[in-house]
Amino acid sequence: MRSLIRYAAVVALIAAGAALLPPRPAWADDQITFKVIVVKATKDGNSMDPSLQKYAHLLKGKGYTNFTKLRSTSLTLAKGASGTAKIAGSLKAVLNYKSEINKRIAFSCSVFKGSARQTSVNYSIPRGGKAVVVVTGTPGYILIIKVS
Amino acid sequence: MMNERTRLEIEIARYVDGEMTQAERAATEQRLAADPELRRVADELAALRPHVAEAVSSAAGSIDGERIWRHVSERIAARPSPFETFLSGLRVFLQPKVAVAAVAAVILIGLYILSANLIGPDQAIAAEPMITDVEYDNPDIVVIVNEDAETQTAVVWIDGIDTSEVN
Repeated sequence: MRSLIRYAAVVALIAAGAALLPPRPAWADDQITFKVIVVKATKDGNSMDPSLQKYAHLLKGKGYTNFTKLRSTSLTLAKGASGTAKIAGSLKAVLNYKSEINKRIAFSCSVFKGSARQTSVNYSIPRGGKAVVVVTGTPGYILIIKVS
Repeated sequence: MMNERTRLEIEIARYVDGEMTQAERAATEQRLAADPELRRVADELAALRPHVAEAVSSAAGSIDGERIWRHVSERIAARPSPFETFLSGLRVFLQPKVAVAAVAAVILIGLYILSANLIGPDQAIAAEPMITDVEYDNPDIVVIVNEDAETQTAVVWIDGIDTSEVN
């Protein structure tokens, strides 16, 4: 009997302490971090940057066999803001964070060649999800965009 | 083997206790009359007999078998059934302190889970399309989309951009 009361009291205290933790600040919900990994893909050679091994299943296709990581860019964007991730030369990707609805992040990824926009894709991806953009060609460029 | 003395003492005890037949009693009285030492033993034993009887009676009286059995029977009859045991446990749980603590624990754990955002995307959310729209500015390009809800990954293939000159 006494131990039951003690057990319930301990559970209640732990839960109360956890519930009273400060909530996430409002600004934290208005910002999203996009991590953009840029990979150069060619058909000559057969190697893969070790840091890309965990993305191997996303990189295969279009006959590419050689994968080199060019750079990794982290973009923390407020709602409505845009950020640019260089791909190669005049090729770049512009990300625009639009909103978060029902734990899904709405954003767009536009590919520019110089100042000319080529295409734009609108996404709605759950937090923790990934968007992969493959610009095919010789060489090909692959963008792995992690949403967190 | 029982010696003569012991046998005589037993005989005297039976005499004193009145357990002899008429013939045995007569024979023993003749022997006591002829043996003063045996007479003295018989007299001492007869003198002790009332005290021994009283002690035995007292000891027996202190053990009330009927009372003990009645007590055991009452305890057996008073033992609660499994259902009564369950109700007893329920009554303990429904005591105000325990009930309030349990309800508070459930509510606070629920609040904690909600506030900590521990509820991950459910199947319905994961099943929604991840690529909602594709806009084309270059008429020469082709965009192929593919989604994997299990790994929450959306893949877009963009064909038609000349990348040879961007090296």
